[in-house]
Amino acid sequence: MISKPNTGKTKADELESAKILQLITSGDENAFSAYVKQRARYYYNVAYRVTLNREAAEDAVQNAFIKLWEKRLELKADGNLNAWLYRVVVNKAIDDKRRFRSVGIDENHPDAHDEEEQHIKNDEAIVVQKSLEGLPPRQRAAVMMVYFDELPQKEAADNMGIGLKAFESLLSRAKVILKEKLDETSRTNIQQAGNSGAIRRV
Amino acid sequence: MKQVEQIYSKLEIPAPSAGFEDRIISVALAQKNSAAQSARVFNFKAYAAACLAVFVVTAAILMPQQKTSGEEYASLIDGSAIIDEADIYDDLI
Repeated sequence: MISKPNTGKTKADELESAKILQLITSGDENAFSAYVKQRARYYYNVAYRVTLNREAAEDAVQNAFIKLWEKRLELKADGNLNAWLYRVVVNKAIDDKRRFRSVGIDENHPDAHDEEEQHIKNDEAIVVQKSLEGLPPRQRAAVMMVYFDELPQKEAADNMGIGLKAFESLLSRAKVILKEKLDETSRTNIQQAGNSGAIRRV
Repeated sequence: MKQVEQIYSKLEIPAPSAGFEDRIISVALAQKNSAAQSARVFNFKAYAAACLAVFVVTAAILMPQQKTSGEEYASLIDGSAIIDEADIYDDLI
């Protein structure tokens, strides 16, 4: 039994999801299209948090939905579609063999240079982005599932197809590395900010 | 570890490319045809495998029968030597 991840959906949404699943398992293309339009963006965000790359995240979501459509006849009509797809998306994102340079923060954005507030926000986002880039995808997925999507560790371990002990070890390593990267990136950013400030003053 | 807990909420996620959802739908639904084709290929493989299995089983069943026929044929032959001492010395006596 797969419990649902924290998808921000209500019970009514789950019932709607169950109805959609029944239609999809019967091969209803309109139901499948509606489900893609309704949920693709959410799963894209999930995949992005693992891959940190737009193209890779899009591919992971697309492949997951293709798998859903291919396996529609084998799925249980009373199953939890959202949880099943969440698991597939996370694993597709982890398995992505490409290691793209992440898109990162758009420094050419019109507001990015002028507004001081935007500067601070961007700095913070860059620190987060760079820190997460220091983690392997499996560790990023573990951190995301437990700390962002608030899945119980057992569920998260099941999603990754590993035992609870192995998952706890993975998560523990991820936290240590993430803490180090956060500190390191923050220090570097402060130094860079200090240098650029000094240059501006000169 | 509050820092870790909040980190993902601060991650800036770029929007997916234009037509992202429509692309997924068109690609996934297009898989139906290729899936059907692969199903036909699979059916052909299954049919070939079934024929081979029938052939092997039939051969296995027939082999003992051939042995039995051979044994029956052999049983018709007198177990004694074709040429015995009497045949050899008959003319001499």
